[in-house]
Amino acid sequence: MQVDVLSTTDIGHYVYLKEKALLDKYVPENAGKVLDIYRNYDPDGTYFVTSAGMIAIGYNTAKLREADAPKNWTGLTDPKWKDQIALGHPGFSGYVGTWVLTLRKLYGWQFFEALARNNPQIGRSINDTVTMLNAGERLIAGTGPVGTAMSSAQKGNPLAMIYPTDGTVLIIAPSGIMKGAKHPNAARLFMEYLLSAEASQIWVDHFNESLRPEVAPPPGVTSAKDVRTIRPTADEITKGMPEVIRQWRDTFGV
Amino acid sequence: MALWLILIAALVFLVASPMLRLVLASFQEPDSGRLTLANYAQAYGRMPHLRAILNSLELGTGVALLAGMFGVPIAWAISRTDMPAKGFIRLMVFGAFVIPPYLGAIGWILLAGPNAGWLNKVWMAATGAGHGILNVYSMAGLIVVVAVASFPYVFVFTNSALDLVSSEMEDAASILGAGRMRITFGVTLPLVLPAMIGGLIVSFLEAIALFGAPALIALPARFHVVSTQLWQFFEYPVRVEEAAAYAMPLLAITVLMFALQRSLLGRRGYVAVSGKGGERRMIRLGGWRWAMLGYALAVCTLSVLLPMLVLLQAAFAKAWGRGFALDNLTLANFRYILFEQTQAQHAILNTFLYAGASAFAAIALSLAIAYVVNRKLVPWSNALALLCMAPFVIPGVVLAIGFYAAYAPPPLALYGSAAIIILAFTTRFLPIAYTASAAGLRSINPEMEEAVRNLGGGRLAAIRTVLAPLLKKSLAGAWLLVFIPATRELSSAIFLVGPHTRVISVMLFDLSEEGNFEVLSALGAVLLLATIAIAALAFRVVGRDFMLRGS
Repeated sequence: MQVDVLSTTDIGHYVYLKEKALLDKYVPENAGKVLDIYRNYDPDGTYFVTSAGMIAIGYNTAKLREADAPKNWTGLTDPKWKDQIALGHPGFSGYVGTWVLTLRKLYGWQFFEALARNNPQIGRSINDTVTMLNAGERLIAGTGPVGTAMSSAQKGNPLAMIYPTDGTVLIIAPSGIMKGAKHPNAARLFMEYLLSAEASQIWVDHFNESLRPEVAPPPGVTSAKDVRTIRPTADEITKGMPEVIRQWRDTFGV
Repeated sequence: MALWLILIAALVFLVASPMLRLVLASFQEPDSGRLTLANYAQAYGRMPHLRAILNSLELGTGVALLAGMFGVPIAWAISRTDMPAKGFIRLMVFGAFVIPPYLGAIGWILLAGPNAGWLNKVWMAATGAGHGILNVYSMAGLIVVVAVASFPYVFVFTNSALDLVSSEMEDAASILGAGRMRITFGVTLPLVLPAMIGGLIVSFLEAIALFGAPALIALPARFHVVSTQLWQFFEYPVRVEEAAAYAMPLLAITVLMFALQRSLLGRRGYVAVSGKGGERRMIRLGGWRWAMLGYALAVCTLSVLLPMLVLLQAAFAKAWGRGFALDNLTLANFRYILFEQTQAQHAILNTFLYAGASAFAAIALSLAIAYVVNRKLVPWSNALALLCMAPFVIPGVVLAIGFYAAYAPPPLALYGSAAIIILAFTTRFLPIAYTASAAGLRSINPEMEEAVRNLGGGRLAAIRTVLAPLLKKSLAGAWLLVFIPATRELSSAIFLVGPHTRVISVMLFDLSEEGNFEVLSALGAVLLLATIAIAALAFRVVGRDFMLRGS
């Protein structure tokens, strides 16, 4: 065992590891002090949410007014956005994969067929959309990573987010202690730390979500607890991911 | 004799072991390890997979031809004519070589993106047109982006070989009445055909193995090439066996390319460096030298000046999307990388250390093997040559997996160490080193070594006193040809780096995934500057051309 604590952005990993009995059970004291939306993902206490991010709709403020931007996910299929949208690719990005799963759950695959008719630009990582908006190539980030976009906007880039009325996709990223870890006590301490207010302050300073109610986001930035969030279950992620990637390939050709 | 056998054993260990694992894996079932043909059926049974192979071939051919068109005239102009500003053009060509292809791709997306590319905007402003004329998101766009990064291979091979050709044969042709063009196309260029073809083949193979630039450009253009298709096989659930099966035709392509090279060159003699001395004079072009300079500058603009302008703007910008603005300038990105971010400092050091070590290892090994093959010291020497060439055609991603399987577990347990990266880089760039060594050796007549042996020296003495000095410039070129791509190598490094062995290319990749282009450009600029400095030093150390009379 080469690591003590494992952190990834795919909850499917932890479902798998727990099944193979590779995770150590430990419930940190701080686990009960995080926001409600981040609690109780594993009742057996082998993994906990230690970071979170949101996917919303991003747009280039230099070229589009807020009033004209799409207000919800279905707005993306409006023909007036033809050749204007940038997306990531579910095969390259866990975030985008989760977004695809969530929207398939909400609207069925017809949503994506309609989206394909708008000829979106498809990159790899979800952060490629921010690049395309900064470059001025596209107007709208259909899969807009809130953390990256707001971080880029703070540097002066012309970006802003719309939190869709039908729900902002919430991505949760867990961590767990590995069985057979060489430094079990340090690992437990680290888990405590990840769930502490101090850690949340660091997240917030970098435009990620705060896990603790007492740590607020910077002014002008919306937090996950203030908007309506939607997400697929761990089961849906584990079973559905390969399937949606195949469906995506068939619909978008790449 | 024992020395040659040891070297051959090293080659087998470096190259054959990962590749045998790869071939074996292609026939194995994922969990049980039983032999099966199902992987091949799955890998080739679907149209998109086959289309990706065709796209790769198209990309490779286009890049080879375009790189030839860029590299050969410039190499000829620098080596044989009196074109002005040679030092500057040389520097620019190295600049093109040092810029990682995907960094150049990012620059070109900013320049030729259909909606917001600078060049398109200039066109629209100048002609009042409604939309731009350039679209980087196309096969043509990808070919140009990769060719401007690959033409230095063709340049260095051709230039080194041309440097060794004395003027006496051109003089003979001239005495018999041939004009300048006839001499160039009928005598000079055919003499360096092995080197030129070597360069074209290397460009072709690099183009089909690249991952970074195609990922950035081909995906939005909605087509796949083999390397991006292979990435899919490594998605969860990982299908290593299918990937291995899919990689096999690339191996077949190497064999084909190699056979092609041999049949093209046939039995014509290419010995241009004989023991009888000679000088190399520059051809006077008159007014045409400005035309040549113009052409060389145009190529340099495309490959270095334009992308660098765009990237420098980002490196000095607070916010890259805001464009040129006085209040957008800052040195914070450089300060961050050089002083605040400790990982960057380690990465910079590691990069140059590993690249340098791999370059030395690759040159030493390939020169030895090229000698063995060229002088036919053992039977089946051509199989050795094939082994040397094979690694380059396996995409870095797949080769890395082979290395991981071969060297990471016990008894060697090299995962996360510097050794595994150096071994991987050495193997990955062995083909380039070998092509350069072989091309250089092929143009030297054995009579000089025979002279040494007649006088009582052994083979090693002959190599040390005669061959090595003659090949100095070729070898220096070959060293750089391995060192520089090793500094920017991404696809194999990304699987093998550990927490203490990070390199710049992986950092750049991580930064691009984060969208942090300001810091990425600053780090890229640092890499570029440092590598050019090292390259300039290397050339100074190698010394002057011994055949150029007068200066």
